[in-house]
Amino acid sequence: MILTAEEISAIREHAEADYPRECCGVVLTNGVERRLMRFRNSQDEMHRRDPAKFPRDATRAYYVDGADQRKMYDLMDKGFELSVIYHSHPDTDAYFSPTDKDQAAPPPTREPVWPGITYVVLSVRKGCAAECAAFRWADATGDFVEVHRAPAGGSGRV
Amino acid sequence: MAVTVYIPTPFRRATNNRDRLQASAKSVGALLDELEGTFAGLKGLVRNEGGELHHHVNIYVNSEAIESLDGLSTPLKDGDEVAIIPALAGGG
Repeated sequence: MILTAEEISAIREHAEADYPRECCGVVLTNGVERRLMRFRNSQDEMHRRDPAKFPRDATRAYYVDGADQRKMYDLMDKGFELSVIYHSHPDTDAYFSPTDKDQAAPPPTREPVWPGITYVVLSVRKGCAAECAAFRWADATGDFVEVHRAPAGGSGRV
Repeated sequence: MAVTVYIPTPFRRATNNRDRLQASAKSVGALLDELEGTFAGLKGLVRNEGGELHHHVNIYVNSEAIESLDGLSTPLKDGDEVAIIPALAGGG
């Protein structure tokens, strides 16, 4: 199991609520309890501040600011482990993009920052969750591979 | 003078699994020099060969990004907390 039904529903709602911007968040677990954290996508602020370094706005990228990340690390220091990082792709497919790979396994080493976790990408079309796909790092290939793909069961709202 | 440095999980493989370090440097750049002198594995993880911070790494002093301060020249004082955090980012 990658996500529970409740988590899938929560991520779907998050992705549709944040459309046409990308949403982002994580799921952590301590083996007994699971926690879903919805993050604020601060990509628009980064884009306005430094468009050369952050050429995309939040419709085509996500960026979690440090304060939100510290909440995640605080939970990890209490015994939780990161299980899933999710984000949405508005009006495009559910794929693990070159940008996603660059952040998940940065150059020059291309070592995964979080080697054991699953990345979930949800496509949202015209405001309605369309499809989700999951990706994991594979040591054998030194790349991310798709491990799951399914309809996202969106709200039907357009 | 003592500065506390928070090391998150992805970087702890380079710090013998320690989550908090103490340092005495007077600027962020000097702090990285000090830490890399003690933990050689941090070197490629945080900065490139030119000494610049990797794009996917952010440093915060008392929860404020050093990009909003004075970059690697940001001064440090007794009691400051520095966090070295890999960016959580991506996009389609």
